[in-house]
Amino acid sequence: MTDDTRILDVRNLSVQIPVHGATLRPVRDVSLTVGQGETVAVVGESGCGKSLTALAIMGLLPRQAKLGCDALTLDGESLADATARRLRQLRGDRISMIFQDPMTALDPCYRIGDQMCEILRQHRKISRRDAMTRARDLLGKVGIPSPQERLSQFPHQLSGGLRQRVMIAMALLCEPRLIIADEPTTALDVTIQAQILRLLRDIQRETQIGLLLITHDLGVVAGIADRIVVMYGGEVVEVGTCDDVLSLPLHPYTEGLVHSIPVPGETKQGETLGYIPGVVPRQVGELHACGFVDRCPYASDICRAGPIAMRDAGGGRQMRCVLSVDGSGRDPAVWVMPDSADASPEREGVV
Amino acid sequence: MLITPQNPASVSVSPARVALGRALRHGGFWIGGVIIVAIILVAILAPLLTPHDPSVQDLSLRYVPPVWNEKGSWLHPFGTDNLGRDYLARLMYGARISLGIGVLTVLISGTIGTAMGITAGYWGGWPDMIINFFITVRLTLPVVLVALVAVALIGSSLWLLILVIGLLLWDRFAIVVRSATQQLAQREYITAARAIGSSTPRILFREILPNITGPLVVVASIEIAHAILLEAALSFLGLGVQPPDVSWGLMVAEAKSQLLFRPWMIAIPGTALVLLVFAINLVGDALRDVTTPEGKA
Repeated sequence: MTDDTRILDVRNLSVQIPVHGATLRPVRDVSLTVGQGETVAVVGESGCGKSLTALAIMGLLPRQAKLGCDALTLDGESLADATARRLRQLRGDRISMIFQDPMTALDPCYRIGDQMCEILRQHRKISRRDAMTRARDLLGKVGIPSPQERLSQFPHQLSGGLRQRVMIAMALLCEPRLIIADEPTTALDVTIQAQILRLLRDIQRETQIGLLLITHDLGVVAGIADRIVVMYGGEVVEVGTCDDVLSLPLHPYTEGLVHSIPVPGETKQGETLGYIPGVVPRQVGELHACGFVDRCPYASDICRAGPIAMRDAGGGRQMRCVLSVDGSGRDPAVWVMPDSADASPEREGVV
Repeated sequence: MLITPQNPASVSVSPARVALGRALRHGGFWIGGVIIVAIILVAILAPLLTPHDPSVQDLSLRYVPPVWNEKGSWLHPFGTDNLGRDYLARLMYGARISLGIGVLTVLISGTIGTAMGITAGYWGGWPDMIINFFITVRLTLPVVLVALVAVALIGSSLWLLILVIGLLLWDRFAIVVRSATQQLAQREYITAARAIGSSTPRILFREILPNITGPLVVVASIEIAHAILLEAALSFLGLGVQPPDVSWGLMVAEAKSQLLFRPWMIAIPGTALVLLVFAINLVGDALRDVTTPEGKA
């Protein structure tokens, strides 16, 4: 990808949070790019730093948190150096965000139309009447029936799926360059999830915006993402195109994730699904080994000797692992464990 | 998907409307509301309701008993006081001062307390610590005593009384607003508001303030009753409302020497006070009932 089609360029982004004398480092040296018309999925389990990465890009980190990065640019403009005023101009206009829980992300005090108008009128010189028209058009575009009536309704009168559609319409109001969707379907029913994902994909294709999709669900990623960024313990552990990563995962963590997805038709009834034992370690202080070493079935002495660097795996892929890049020496069976073993994984911390 | 009613627009009622609708089905709201409205109407329409001036003395008609006493007459339904002033007229005009003090002091204390509570709740950290310190200091001070000292030192006038009470009763506002704001600040729609580029004042006034109206109204109603009682207490001690102004507390104070001989002189303004405070508390309770279970998702 050439530099001029890059919408978002993040290089070595870190977040540090001082807590009771120690320093939490929930995001470490994360680099990622989103190109024009590209959907990039950030995947990882709870607590791996996905959402904080998104908030850091938006400049919405909690006050105590400290942001560090080599570069954080939107269309070539540095977000890290922008003034608070400039950031406010950009947010909602050039870059917008869709939140995880549509039930709590809309203000219960205002009608849908008023909330949408507010965004438009904050960023554009536009009359209230025109703003309402645009809001109504967008509600129709995201597949909301009778949009005119919805404009005058309050959030509590809408179902979860409708509200998430409203959130998407709100994110689109000012024709942003980049949309960050933080687990946009987690709070929704499975049937609605599929609809919302299809909607996001269609809109993204049509408008050629960049979409940064944050999710813990590889199933969500498969149908929609161009590239996948796998995060573990605050670090990026694998980057590659969607097909590559899902068909031949290189990092053991990704491999574990892929093997824990049931495949319709292949996974037999009663068969134990694979899973990754243990939990994400607490991210305090510097790493003195591979962050995944305690949960990795392939772990060797090299992994315990020191932190592992990101390396090129060919074909535009990158991985943070010492294993071979062609997938040899792997055994999917390591992920399928007897039911009794390790039924209650203990919380392991690398402190 | 939502089951679409035939005309969705017709069911778009705001949360405030929902609360009001519930209040109108609440017995306490009706009882309290009717009493308060009646007292307010009487206070406003006093010149039309009684021919007497509350401060005109008629020394030939001192201590006329009320109409239910065998010596009473309809000319002075509640009798007259020690200077021959019509007791009903004094009661009606006194309502003006009592109500006015209640509302004005709560405007002052509500503004102070809400500003402090929002600041503490939204920013947390050291602003929160400082404001908490002020709240704690304020809570250690006995209100009546401080008001007494202030009025005794500076002198007593109606406006000073309002100011002193207003500067004392902000604590409950600050505490309630602070905790309500803390809860709200965690909500995703506040983050969402920042994510669309809203400025901090905009978030405070357009997102936080409308969403804490419920608890705010409840506290305000309780504090109005509190302020009215405080004024009565200060007036009873001679440090509140000064003649020729009348307030219900002052009427109780002036009648205290007659407690054993003409008990109605204390009972009449006393009953009025009890009724007003009771009614305000009824409405306050009703408002709390209808705003707290609000299904604000």
